[in-house]
Amino acid sequence: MLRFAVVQPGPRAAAIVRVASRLRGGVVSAVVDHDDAAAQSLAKQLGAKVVASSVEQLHQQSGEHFDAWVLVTSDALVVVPHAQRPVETSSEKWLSNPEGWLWGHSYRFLPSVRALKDSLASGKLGAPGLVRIHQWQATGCDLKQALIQQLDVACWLVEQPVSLVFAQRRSIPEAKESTLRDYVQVHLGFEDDRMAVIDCTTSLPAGDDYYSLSVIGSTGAAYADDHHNMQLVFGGSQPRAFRTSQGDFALLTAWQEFIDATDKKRQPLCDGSAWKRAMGLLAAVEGSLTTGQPVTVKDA
Amino acid sequence: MTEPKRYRCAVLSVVKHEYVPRGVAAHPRCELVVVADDANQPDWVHQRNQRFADEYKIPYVRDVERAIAEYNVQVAIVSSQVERHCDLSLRAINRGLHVIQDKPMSNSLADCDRVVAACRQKRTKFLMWNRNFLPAVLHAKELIAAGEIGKPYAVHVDFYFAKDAGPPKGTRPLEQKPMDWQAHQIAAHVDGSDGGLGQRPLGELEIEGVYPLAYIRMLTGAKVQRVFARTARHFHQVNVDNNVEDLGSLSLEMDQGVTGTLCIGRIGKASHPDIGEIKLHVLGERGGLVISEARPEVAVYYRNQPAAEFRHKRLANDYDYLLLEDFLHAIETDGDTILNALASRDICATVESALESARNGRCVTVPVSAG
Repeated sequence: MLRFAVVQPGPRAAAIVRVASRLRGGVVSAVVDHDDAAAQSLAKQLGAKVVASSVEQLHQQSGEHFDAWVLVTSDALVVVPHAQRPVETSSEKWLSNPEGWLWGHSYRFLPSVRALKDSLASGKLGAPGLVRIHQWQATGCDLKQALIQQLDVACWLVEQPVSLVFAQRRSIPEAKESTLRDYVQVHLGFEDDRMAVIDCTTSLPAGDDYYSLSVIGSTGAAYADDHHNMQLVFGGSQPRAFRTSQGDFALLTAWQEFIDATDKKRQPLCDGSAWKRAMGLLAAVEGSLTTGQPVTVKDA
Repeated sequence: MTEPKRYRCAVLSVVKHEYVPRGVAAHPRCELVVVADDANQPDWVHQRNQRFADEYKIPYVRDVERAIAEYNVQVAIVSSQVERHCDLSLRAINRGLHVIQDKPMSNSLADCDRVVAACRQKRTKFLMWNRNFLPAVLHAKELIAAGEIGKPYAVHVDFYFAKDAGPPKGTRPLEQKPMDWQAHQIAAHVDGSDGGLGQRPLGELEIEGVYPLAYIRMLTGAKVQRVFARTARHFHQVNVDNNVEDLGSLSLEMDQGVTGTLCIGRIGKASHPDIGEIKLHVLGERGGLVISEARPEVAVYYRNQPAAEFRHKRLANDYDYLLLEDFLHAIETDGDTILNALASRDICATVESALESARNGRCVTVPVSAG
């Protein structure tokens, strides 16, 4: 049984409670939270015996009570073996140790995306020729993280090395040149003439996000599009559209993946090497934005 | 009450998309009076022209100039082999006719420029047949015009036609000769997938690119300035054999600070239950639009339904009529059509630049019209 220490769960605490009891071969044994009341409350709901106010405190005082750290952000679950210390996912330190930890970002584990990947892996769709992603989020979301995740999804689906990256961003005259601003579109050229086109924005008004992923294969295609999963509510004037949720499956599946990978002594499905590859592509995106020309990529 | 003016129309070759002259003929103010073509055309061209003329009970004249001179026509409708489009249009424009032309405008940008110049000189109107008046596309335009999403800053079009184009890629035995493009296109006439009819092979961008690029132009009012593109021969043996793409993706940099992308492909019949996944995604300063081009539609399923029959049928499609209304309005007010010669030429220039980009891996500046 793997024992997990959940770190700063914040607004995802309720989801962790719902998911933790469904893990096969894993249990939450410790909670780390600067807010002691929140930590105590969550620990009680999870049946965790250990509570700490910081990572350092838990590491020093109760290191024997857990096997892996769990960082749950709004859009990712990062699970790191105890031997490694949890740090921010953007830290350069991760690049030096890309293996052994799970980068469980939502889009790798969403049921819709997994169904699409399964169709591809089964050979039903043939060779992927084009991956098309639209990801729109509201103002305040992290565009860089969103893009990193979608770069990973595209590479994961295409399964060929990227050779060329071309990126564009929103034209705002007064904006700083070094930023992605609130919109970026990325065009990836892969080996074997495969391609991917991604547009990410954080310019939507506050509210729901939108996600659409299509894979065009040589013998079939698959479309995972929020547009297809909208329900209507009539309350006068124009109806409102609501997306039926895919529940906690992404979080549960990602977490379970770490347990299963550990049990079978294999690398997690989405590990630090995928993150490293996406970070490399992000650098190419920024290079293309700076030059206004495509950037040739090696080893991605 | 004064009867509105009627227009006599000459069909200058109808070897490809009959829906163009049929769409014109359906308008109450238009009348097809003659089919004409050059005498030196091959037999299959004459046979198609004759069949169409017979159906409409109008003469078929194997002399374009004589037909124009003798039948008192004001409009020419051109749906010939692609490489003859501009030649036939030019001959009509130079005799003072307004022109409705099938897509693509041409496979030669120089020919497009000549048509633009001739229209300007002769003050005649040109309409490239297009889909801008589909109900969903018009709806998108209305929503943008109403300010629902603020000023658009990015437009993305997914334009996949779920059609086959002969045998799949990789199925030609080594001992067999590569497929001949024109022979394949002639044979494809039976199901209307002969948009690339002509001697020179055309990829999907050249054949269908005008539709989504016209959407982008209409919705944003912006011109494409630079393009980056990737292309592939991914599905069909005829595309492999003739070295033309059946899948493409474009990144677009437009004026007015607008960006966009286009993904386009003839992705095979198995890849969608209907004609294909065709969608518009528009981001504006205050929101976004996701539009399915096929709507409104109705779903019809029944026992023993033929495999080739679309399960979802498009409804309330009035774009033939609206295109003709737009064309006649332009003639009568000396205005512009929804897709005039210059806009059509600019789209051809974008496609040409995209193909160059796909070859050299660079971002390519789209050449502007000399005029």
